[in-house]
Amino acid sequence: MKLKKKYKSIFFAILGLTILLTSCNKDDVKEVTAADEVVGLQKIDTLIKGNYTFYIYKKDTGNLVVGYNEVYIQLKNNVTGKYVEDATLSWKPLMHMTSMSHACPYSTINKVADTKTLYKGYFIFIMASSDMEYWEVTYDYTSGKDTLAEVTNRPTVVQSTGKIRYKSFKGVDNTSYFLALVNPTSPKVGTNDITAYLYKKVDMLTFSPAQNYTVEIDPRMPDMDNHTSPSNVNLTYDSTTGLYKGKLNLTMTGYWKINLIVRDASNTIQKGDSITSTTTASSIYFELEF
Amino acid sequence: MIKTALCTGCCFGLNFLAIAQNKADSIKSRELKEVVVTGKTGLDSINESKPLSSIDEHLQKLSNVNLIKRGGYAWEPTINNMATERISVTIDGMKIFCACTDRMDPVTSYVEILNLDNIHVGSGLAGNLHSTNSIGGGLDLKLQKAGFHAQKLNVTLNSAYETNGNYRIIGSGLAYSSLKFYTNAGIFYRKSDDYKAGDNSTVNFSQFEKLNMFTNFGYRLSAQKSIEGTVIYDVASNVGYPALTMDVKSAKGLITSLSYRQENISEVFFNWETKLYFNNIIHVMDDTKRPNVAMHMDMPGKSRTGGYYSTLNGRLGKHNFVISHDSYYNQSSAEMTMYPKDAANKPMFMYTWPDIRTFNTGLTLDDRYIIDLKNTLQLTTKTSFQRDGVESTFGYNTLQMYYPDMTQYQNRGLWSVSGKYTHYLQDIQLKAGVGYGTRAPSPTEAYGFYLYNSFDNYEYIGDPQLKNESSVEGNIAFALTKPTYSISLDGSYFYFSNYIIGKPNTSLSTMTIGASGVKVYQNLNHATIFNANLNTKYIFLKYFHWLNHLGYSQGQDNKNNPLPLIAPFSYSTSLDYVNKKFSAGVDLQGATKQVNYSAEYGEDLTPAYFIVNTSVGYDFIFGHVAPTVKIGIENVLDRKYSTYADWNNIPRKGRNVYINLKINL
Repeated sequence: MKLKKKYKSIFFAILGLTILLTSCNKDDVKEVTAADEVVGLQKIDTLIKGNYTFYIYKKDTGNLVVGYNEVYIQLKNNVTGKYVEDATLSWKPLMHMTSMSHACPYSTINKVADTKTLYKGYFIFIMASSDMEYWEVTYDYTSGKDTLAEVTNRPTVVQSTGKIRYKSFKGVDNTSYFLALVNPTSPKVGTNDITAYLYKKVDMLTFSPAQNYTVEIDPRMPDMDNHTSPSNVNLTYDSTTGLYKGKLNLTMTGYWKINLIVRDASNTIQKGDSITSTTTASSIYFELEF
Repeated sequence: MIKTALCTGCCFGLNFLAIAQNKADSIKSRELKEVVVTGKTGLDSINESKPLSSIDEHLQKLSNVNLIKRGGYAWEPTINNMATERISVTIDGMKIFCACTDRMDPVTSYVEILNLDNIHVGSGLAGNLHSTNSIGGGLDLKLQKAGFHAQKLNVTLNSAYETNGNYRIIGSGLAYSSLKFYTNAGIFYRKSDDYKAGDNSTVNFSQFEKLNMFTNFGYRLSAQKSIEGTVIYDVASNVGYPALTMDVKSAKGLITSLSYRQENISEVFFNWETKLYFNNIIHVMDDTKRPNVAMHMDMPGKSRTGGYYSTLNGRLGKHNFVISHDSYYNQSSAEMTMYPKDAANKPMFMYTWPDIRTFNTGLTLDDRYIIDLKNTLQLTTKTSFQRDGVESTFGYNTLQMYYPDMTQYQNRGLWSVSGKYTHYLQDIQLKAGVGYGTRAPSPTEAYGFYLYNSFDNYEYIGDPQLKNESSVEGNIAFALTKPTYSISLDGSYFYFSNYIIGKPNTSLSTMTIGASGVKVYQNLNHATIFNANLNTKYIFLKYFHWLNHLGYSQGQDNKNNPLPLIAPFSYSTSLDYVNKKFSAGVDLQGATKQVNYSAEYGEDLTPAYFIVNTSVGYDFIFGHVAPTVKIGIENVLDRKYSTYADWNNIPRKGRNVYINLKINL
């Protein structure tokens, strides 16, 4: 009898605790503010035009680099003090060289999923800026046919000093290609999702995604007698995202050279070399170190 | 009785395993379940030509046992030509597992000869009631216990010196017994420099140093109830492995146990022991002393095991039975950090044993049915459940690259059953046994990752999805024992299914610079191992003992190719003179050339060899002090030789003069 009572009280204690915890959780749901949505991002520019302010962010510290750059934007209506949640944003990068101008591969700007105020896009800068030659990015906020705000900035773009994550090359078809590694940013031992963008130059101002190519990967460790990993999956084109996606296997931490071969839609090698006992690296590769 | 037989075998460089076992199996020795000698401080030294030799050297003299040598220390025992993964080695029934992925530390290296009372060697599936996952047999290292006797204190001092390698041994043991309480304690130290092979050439990196501390105690709670405990701490340091590319900085083992024992419980149950144990091994390799190291690596490993067993012995009519339940949990983890030549690059890290966990629990039933005075039938069965896997997510992710559909943990059922029939006919004993048993893949075979084997120059990767290996065993033994001579002949045959061995996978890339390729463990359809031994003993002119041993083994895979590390035809003969306090002996040991070697596993033809050893011994008595002195010369002819079991053909010791001294205070 006594035992039964004991069990009963334990049961109610657990029940009570469960209710308590559940209700606590409900209380914890707070409204996400615009400031919350940029936690962890680094503000790289604030651009004010008329009633609007563009806040430009990126994930890591430091300058924008030659290669892939993910850029985040928040837009504030200075009159209402509120962040615009349904903006149609666009941008256009242009490199002003001493003798000429050209653009680079870049994306459209889209809302970041599950946020109210944050927008995202990317640039693949193809050269660094300098005192004489600079990148100029024009940001537009449009509603219907009207441009409500248009601002420009001149971001500093530097050559990356870290491991190689971007490669431009001329294919055997004499087209200029731009290949930029997106993921992994923090590689792990095991199977990694590997993604990259491949663009080709149409003219000085037009860069279009190269579609239905294959990016073959051969990860190697030069320090380990060019050891490689098994079961890697080459990157193939995903038409919904425009990304090339594959699987990269890394057997240990350390420095890895991801040797690449780019084949076009008709399976012709545009650039890259197979690794053999004499050819220890491809002419195009990415690097990872962790 | 078991002990005596084994020690005698050791002493004369011959094995009387068969005879010892026969005796162990006999009705008499069952009744002498607890053989305890008052105030004992180690293996019986009187009948040993070299009492302070290492456990490895003692084991070497047993006929079903061989030792794989990678240097001067920590040899890996094999039973019936099966090594670590197919045999069981326990310390007083305790499970303990090595911490080195490269087998530099067989568990026999974590104890010292003076810790031991005797070594029980069991052949085949029925080899050891405490064994799990073993097919080839079991070694149980029985720790010495002073026991509950009339009050007595016994202190011994031991010291030895060997010329080859400037090998120094010193140690002391204490044994105190009383009716209520007993204790043993000891400290033992060995140190050797590089030894010299037969042509006087120094075998570099064969040095070692070992310190062992040991204590146990027993306390009698009542006439029938007692508790016992053991602590062993063993540290080997600066151990060279000339056959390998690396040495060992330190190998530390802590072995502890606490047991509760109850005697004479009822008419039926006469002994019940329950033991809790824990052991911890930390092993650190070292390549910093080697010249021309392509890449410096850190390779630490650890192995922790906790477990218990509860064993009940009883007798019901003509049945002598044992019921034993045991469980253990082991963590084996080893990692490798490689430092690239280009110091700008980050170190490379991986798990070679990705925090492997093994839980095993099993029930053993053993019944010896004494049909009549001439016939005995013994049936043994063990059923166990095992759950093993990799705890490390890092390691799991690693293995998933190779086995995408593997699960992090898996369950296995293991089962073995064996029966042995013994027939006594005056001086003749006939035995026939059959058995069937399974074993789970070892941690290395299931989860090992890029373990470099310098023997065949391949790197090995485990396969978590391996099937259990199984074996059918048949054995037969004949022994004739007369007052002046004895002959014994025994043979065993193992037919394996799903035999686990590494096979090359050319699609995988090597890691070690210069390695020939990567092998992955897999199940071979079948394989066979056959062993046969002939032992004879002849006593003449009262004091002379002439012993002979012949051994033959064969191992074949599913394509009838030889299995690796199978002993060639071997022989030994010894002549000893034993007259109370004085003993002298000469023996000759050898093997024919290894014809059936396995080139696939890195073996080459090992030439025939023989060596000659001699020894003399005398027990002095000076008042209360009774020193025993043993002097001997090993490899008298200073032959340079290596055997099939010497890793990468490293030569064995050349001529060696030793002196062993034991003083009883």
